[in-house]
Amino acid sequence: MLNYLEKLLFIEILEKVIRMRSFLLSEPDALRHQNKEVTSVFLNALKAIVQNLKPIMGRLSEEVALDENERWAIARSLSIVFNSVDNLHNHLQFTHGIWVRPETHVFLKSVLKFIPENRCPSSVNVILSNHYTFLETDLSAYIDDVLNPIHGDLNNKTPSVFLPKIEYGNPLNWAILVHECGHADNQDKRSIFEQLKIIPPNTDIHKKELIYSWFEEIYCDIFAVRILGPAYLASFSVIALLAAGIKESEALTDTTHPPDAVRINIIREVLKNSNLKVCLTEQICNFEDMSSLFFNIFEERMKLSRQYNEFPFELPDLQLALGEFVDEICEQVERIINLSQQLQEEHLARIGSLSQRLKKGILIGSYPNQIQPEIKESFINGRIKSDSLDIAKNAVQEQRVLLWEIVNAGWLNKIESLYPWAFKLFFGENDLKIEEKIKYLGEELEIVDRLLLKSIEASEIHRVMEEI
Amino acid sequence: MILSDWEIVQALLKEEIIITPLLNAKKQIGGTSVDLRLGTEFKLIRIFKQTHFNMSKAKEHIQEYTETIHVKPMEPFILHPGEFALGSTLEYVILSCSIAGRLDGRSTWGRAGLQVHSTAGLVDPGFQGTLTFELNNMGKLPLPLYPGIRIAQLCFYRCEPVTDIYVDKHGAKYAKSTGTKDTMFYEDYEYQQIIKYGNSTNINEMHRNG
Repeated sequence: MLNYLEKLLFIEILEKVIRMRSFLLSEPDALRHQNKEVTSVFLNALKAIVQNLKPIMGRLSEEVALDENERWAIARSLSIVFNSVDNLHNHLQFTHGIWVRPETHVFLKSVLKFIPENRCPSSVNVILSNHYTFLETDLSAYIDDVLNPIHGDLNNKTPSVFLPKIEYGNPLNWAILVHECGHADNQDKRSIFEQLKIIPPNTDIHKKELIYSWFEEIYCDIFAVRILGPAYLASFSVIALLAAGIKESEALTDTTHPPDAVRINIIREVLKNSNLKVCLTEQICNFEDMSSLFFNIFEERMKLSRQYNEFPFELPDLQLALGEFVDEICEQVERIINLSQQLQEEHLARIGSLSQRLKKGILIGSYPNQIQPEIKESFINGRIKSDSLDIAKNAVQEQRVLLWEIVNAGWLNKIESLYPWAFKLFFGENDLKIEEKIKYLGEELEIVDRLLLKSIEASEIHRVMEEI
Repeated sequence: MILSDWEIVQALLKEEIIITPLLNAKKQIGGTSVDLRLGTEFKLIRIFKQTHFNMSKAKEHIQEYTETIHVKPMEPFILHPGEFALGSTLEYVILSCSIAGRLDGRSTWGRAGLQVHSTAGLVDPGFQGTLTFELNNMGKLPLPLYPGIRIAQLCFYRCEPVTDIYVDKHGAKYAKSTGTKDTMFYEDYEYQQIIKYGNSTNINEMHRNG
């Protein structure tokens, strides 16, 4: 497909615009009383953002192969537009507030089950953030810092994860919250770090602190990818793609986080080594599985950048072989998290069928029992007698689908159904105005969001019913 | 004709009926019905904000009148005597174009005074979505309703395939719903016409002038 990367970025930015618009209008009071003027300023700002996307839509609709310079220019323009979305998001506190969805709490509660009881916080708070960033912090310490120079008695640890406001109803991007939960694990990460054989004992203290920061981030990435599988790579790489233009000038050695390119490489390696693969029904851009597709799109975007460097598996500054470093962390993560509920190959095999059900508008919180075709045929074609009625009932009973399967199926549905449909809508031949196209995309996103949220609810009730 | 237990199972296997999640088929599929469970979302009427109902702004006012409550699993939603609330099924139901359904309460809860629908129990062929409960406590005791409990049953009738399938019908207001939806009577054609007519002509004036 021509210009897949650019089209994907275009649709993802529009998705953010749609989500912000529906967030602004989610409260009945939004367009009345004191909020009316404020809300309309935000809505007009979104209109201006859409106007900036129009010329790009026109160019991509021509379906011509773009040269490297034009590709870079389009990618850069899209990043600038996303930056405006991000800046606008930073000011959402000027509008009304909204509460976290109950499904988000169900999602996080399930993530915490991977952390052994003795190290697991009793709960993790979710705070809707004005910044389009996913971060984790101890809220008490944070608020204490805000009060500075006044200090209160805020010593109780209050682990909290921050979710961008416009993602409050989009379970596909809650994947990043799993990474943040990795930070909330009370595991003494420092002592694991000290035991890593790869760190030379005479490493300079400043470099060691940098490596420790990276270690913790990589630890949490591995924690997330072992739980979520390819959906984590999908979600992380789309966010990294959107931010790529903004981060282009950043140095390789961020003091807290490894560069996104490094992290995406690591996530992909872990997926490969764990054999966690979600196959596509048919090849997209010559790729057969979800992770390879996203990994290569991200790499393509990086190559467009003028300052592109090959992925540094050897970091000269740190004198550290990152590959071995990651292997060691992987070993530690495997040893210390509960893996009983994690995604297995058998779950991944049914992601395709779940995605197909989602495409038909069917909930995916549960999945029909598998039954031998000949037995099914015999039940369908004749009267079911009383002695086999229980067997037949068992055949229509459904098994619970794990939340991780729901998120992966959601991503697969996005790649195989939503993106192609949206590409056709925005870049294909039709007489619709951009506002009408945005309306249709918004309706489609809302249907999928609702189905995914209801699936999470159904899966959770199923779990509770099984337990009791 | 109403479908019997084995015919329901057959229809489920043929995907003429889809009920998902079907957590416990042995318990849920009865002689001529399938038990349905309560979901987690409820809508209540709050009457403390408005002094009157503005018919020409029905959509906005319905939203202001209703409050949405989410109940966690293992937490009850208490329906007090005389109270009315909207709820919905945990299950998402899809019917083929030749199957109609009829929703009713389970006698276990009926004996406790629980009504799950007031008048609207028919499910059209081709329906897709969760079903809405019009919950009413007609008894004398508060009823603790937990998400996941079986409070209703759905019977099925086979008919000749309908030509106008519910989900494809223009104005199918409640199709593909995944939660509890408020009334949308304001989208009914005749209601819109009445409001439009009322706005364009001053009805009181007309009455005065004969």
